[in-house]
Amino acid sequence: MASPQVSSDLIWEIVRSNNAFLVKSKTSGGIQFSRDPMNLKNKHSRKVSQPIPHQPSPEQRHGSKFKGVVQLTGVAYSTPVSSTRRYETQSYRTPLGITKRIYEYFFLEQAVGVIPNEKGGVKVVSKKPATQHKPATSTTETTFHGGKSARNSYKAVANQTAKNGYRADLREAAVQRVSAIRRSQLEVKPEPEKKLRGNAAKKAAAAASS
Amino acid sequence: MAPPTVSIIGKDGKPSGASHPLPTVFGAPIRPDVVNSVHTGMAKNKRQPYSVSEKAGHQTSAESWGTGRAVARIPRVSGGGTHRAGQAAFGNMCRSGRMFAPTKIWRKWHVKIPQGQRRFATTSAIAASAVAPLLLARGHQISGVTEVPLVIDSAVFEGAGAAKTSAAFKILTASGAGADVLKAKQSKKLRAGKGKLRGRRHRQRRGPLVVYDPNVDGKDLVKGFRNLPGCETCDVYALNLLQLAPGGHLGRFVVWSSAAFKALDTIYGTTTKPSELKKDFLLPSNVVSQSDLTRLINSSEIQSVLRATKGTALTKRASVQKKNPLKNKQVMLRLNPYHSTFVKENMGQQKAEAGKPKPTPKDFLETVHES
Repeated sequence: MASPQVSSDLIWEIVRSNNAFLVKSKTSGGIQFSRDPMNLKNKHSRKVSQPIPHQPSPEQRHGSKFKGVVQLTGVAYSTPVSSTRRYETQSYRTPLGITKRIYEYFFLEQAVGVIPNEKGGVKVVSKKPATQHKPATSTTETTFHGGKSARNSYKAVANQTAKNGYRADLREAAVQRVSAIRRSQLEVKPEPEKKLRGNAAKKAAAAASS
Repeated sequence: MAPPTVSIIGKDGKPSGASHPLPTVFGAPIRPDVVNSVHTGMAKNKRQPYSVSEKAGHQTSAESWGTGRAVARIPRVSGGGTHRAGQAAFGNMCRSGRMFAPTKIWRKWHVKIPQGQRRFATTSAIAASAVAPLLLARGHQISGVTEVPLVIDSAVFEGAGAAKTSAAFKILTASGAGADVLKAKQSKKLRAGKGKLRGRRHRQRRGPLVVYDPNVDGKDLVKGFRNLPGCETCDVYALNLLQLAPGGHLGRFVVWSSAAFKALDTIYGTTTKPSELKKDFLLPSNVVSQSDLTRLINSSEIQSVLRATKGTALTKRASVQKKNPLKNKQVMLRLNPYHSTFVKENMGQQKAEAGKPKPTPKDFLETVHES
């Protein structure tokens, strides 16, 4: 297990300028994309959620309701846990309005990816929080086969992505991805035979009659 | 709280049941800036001096023709009977002249890097090798790896257990590191440019770095691993930044033998206990003990000194926020009270008055001209 000093904030600062998934381009104002399979939007960015206005009373701020609050002192070997998730479930909000940071990348404890399944349909890959250092077992895969109706797959994928306090912010992106993947899996219609026109048509007609 | 432990992987690639506490060096600060600058210097220390010949471009007795001959005053090769005669010489702009600032073998090829910085960079690179996302960011194929850092039981290497490449590859495959070797193997490409002629014909990815303890594991495994594409071996007592952070990028995939892993605490010591092998060396400590910004912001220490936000989302921020009068009617009315009439009577859509302007009345003109 990595030391507690390593947070996703730190990792982001290290990998933001250069990493294996990053695709830089000089066109379109230097837009940057990501090839990370766990990145549903294929965008190289770090997002911060919308500020949520809230006024906690003083006792609420210092009271025992704050189970999610971490002691800053003596963290030499404290176990890093998924802090964002805990805050979410406890409806704890800061007076500053910054509640949680939302990310969607390979370096996070919680991430979800939607990839095409070889036999049609899609696979949803999601990370198990707090098992980042065990790559072989840190992800779970669920397959939604291509025989399912599109709507059913959307719903199933949306539920898996967004329910139980897991990445509700990515519901829409996940559904969009499922849709795109399924569209790519449709059989290509054969092109209709070209009708001959002009001189070629006349020649063909002449050849057929003679 | 007890320090975290790392399980030791057996021959079959599964945790053998034994584990070892994470050496303190893995808690060293991860500083890409330090690693990068030290790497830049260190990469220069294996260079072979080169230069052009001292005589190149000067092996002629050229003299300038002076003015008056309608040619440039550059020195020209004397004599006749050959095409070379009369051609310009010496200058860096001349064909077969000397180059500009001819390279010398006494260029400053090597860079001395302070030992403290070198040690800092090495510990930093070791710490980064235990962070799975950084390995992914470097492009290592680690999705099948049981645990990061990957520690393989030294018993596996015992008795020339990895002296043969096939055995060595089996060990890596069992623990999930085989994919990274295969990636390196498939990545072998012909280099673009002149480097092909200069002993750098191919380029390929780096695979895993196998770190061993020669006292326990012996040196047989070096021969086993050396023919695996992208795979390198390194003695734990002589770790090399060029291998731990190739290209100055943190997060090399390191496979430790358990003996090497155990030796790390002796080699690097802790932040309070000096190293046994390196003179005057204490592990660098982190400036911040918590780098998770969300936790910092949400911590009771910070929350207790912040005041609550004033107002709600709907509170007016008149002095701060500029409103667009073209989109916001109320703001427009404040600026232009006539706006309501203007809109009501559709004045924006009305045409200008039609027809020619009326001629000036005659009597008026007469009156004007009289005076």
